[in-house]
Amino acid sequence: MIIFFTFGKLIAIDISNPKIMKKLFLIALLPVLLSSCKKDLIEKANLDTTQKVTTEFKKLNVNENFDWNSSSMVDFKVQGMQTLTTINRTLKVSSVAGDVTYFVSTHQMDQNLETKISLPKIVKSVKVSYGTLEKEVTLSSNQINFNFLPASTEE
Amino acid sequence: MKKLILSIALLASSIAGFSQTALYTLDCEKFANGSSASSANNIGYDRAQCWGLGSFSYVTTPALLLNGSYSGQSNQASNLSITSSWIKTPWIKPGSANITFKHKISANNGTIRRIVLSYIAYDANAASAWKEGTLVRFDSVSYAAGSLPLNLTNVSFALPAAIRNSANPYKILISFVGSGGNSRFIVDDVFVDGIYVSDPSSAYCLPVPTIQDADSDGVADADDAYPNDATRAYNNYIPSSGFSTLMFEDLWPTTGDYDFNDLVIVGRQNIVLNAANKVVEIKINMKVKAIGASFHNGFGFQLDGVNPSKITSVTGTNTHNAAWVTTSANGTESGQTFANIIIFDDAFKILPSPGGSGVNVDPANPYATPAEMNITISFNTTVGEAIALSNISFNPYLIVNQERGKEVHLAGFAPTTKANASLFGTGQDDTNLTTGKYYKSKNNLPWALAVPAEIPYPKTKIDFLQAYKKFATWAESNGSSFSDWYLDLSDYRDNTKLYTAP
Repeated sequence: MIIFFTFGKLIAIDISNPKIMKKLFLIALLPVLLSSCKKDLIEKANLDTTQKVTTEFKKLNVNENFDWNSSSMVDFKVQGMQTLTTINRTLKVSSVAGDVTYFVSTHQMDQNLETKISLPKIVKSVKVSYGTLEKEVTLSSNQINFNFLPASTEE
Repeated sequence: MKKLILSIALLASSIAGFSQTALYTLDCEKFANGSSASSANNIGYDRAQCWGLGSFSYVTTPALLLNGSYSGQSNQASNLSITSSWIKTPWIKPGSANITFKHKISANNGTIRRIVLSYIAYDANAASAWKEGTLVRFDSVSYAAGSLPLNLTNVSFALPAAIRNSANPYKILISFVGSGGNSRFIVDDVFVDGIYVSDPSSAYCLPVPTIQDADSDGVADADDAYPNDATRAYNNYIPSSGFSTLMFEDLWPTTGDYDFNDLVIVGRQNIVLNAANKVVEIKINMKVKAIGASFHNGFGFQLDGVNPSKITSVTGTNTHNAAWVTTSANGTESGQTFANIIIFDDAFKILPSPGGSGVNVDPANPYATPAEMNITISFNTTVGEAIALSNISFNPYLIVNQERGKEVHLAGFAPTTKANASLFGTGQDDTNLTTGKYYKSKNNLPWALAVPAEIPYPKTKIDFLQAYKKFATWAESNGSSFSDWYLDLSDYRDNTKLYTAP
């Protein structure tokens, strides 16, 4: 006889009864069986992702609109801002670290600009600088949008 | 006599060398072109014009407005520090008229409410990035509980004699201070008499600097790649650093072994602009690295959309009198709608085989040092003829085995006028000029690849996918996975499949 406390009640089990013991054995085995099924599912999922890699170029299954280029022409849009005096400075688009320049030209601050820049597709953010103003811009819908409004909330 | 005085004044202004623009009245209503009026946009605009607005906001609450749709509002004026809430002008050369503005107190509470005026001199040696020097208080007005200005009240303060009509830059600081209560100052139409000398392109709004410009082209020497050449100003490189790699298969319109080494070229274009942002020239530095073919292929490129007449000369190409190469006086290929440059007519004459089959694709064969070429394309820069950077779009192509009409372009790039249209749709090609499907096979595969980096190419007869292990996932995921497949990252390449120079 085993006595234990569960769900707020004292329960007594007669371990000499074979029917009760069989039920107990099945209940004890259940987590093992479930765990085994789970493992099978995980292994199947892993196989699915590794088995599908194509190894012959001619057998590639590619969408008909797939762009094979690793660079793309990105729209670069600058929203001009009216100024009290004419301000002409160098406008530059570079890597966030600033070590690679993607685009450089002169720009009058009160003018809008729309042009295209060739960027590797792995580039997700750029730094845009004008004079000594600098902003980090994240590409959105293959566009770089820049304006001269300060990010500062104080000065 | 009046005319003479006016002329002398204009001359003096011209010699001074800068436009005399008065600082605008801070009315809280202005916003940047292309945006719309809002508290955030309006205060952003004024800050971008170098107004300092510390712990200060713009409000639209009708009961608070003094004029128009927006007015300024200080913090709760229960702090006597002059830096607790303030308006600071851009750098100005002060005039002589009084400082004026409208104001009131937002609610009838507070022990003291005070406006303090100070001026700040420009100090180039100041440690602060803002280069603000000594602050001098010069006026104030105080209100006590029971006599707070709860309705619109105009105030006027004389500019101190020490800075009136000064040739030096100053800022005027207007501080909103007080003690007790939680009422705020509401402020509008702040007028400070002065000539605006701040530079909004400066991160700290410093006074407009004297720019060194040796060639007087309008681009500061510090930014000018050619500071002593007024005809050139900027270099725009594609790719931005290093070289890009072009790799071709040359059996078009049938498919080949997909080792993409039938012709391998690395190159970098420098698009040189003048100070008016017009293209002066394109300088191309390129190397022919490998020929994994038996065909005697040519190579050229089209500048899509650019009329050949925009080009004045081409130098550095290397052709050997192939009958199919016909050039105009400006060096572009004749008979083309858009500008085409034939760089070479036979790859084997640029990079001769040192022995064995092909060049630099089989490690068992002798190595040949890649052949370097420098091409310069000069453009017409006269007004009305000059083109902009955005007009430049390179469309490189291989010309198969001396057959001019047999061009192999990158997938998605249009053929030139001289392409033999009867070949489209033959073999495995599925080019369709009507739908704009160019140089893709029936199962959408390319005959050429371009990468914005210098990368190694497969050895002869090695399938590209054997060498670049993430390429297939990139292509089949429609570009969403491993867009960096060409980088030399862990498990991205099988170097045993790639050709390496000895």
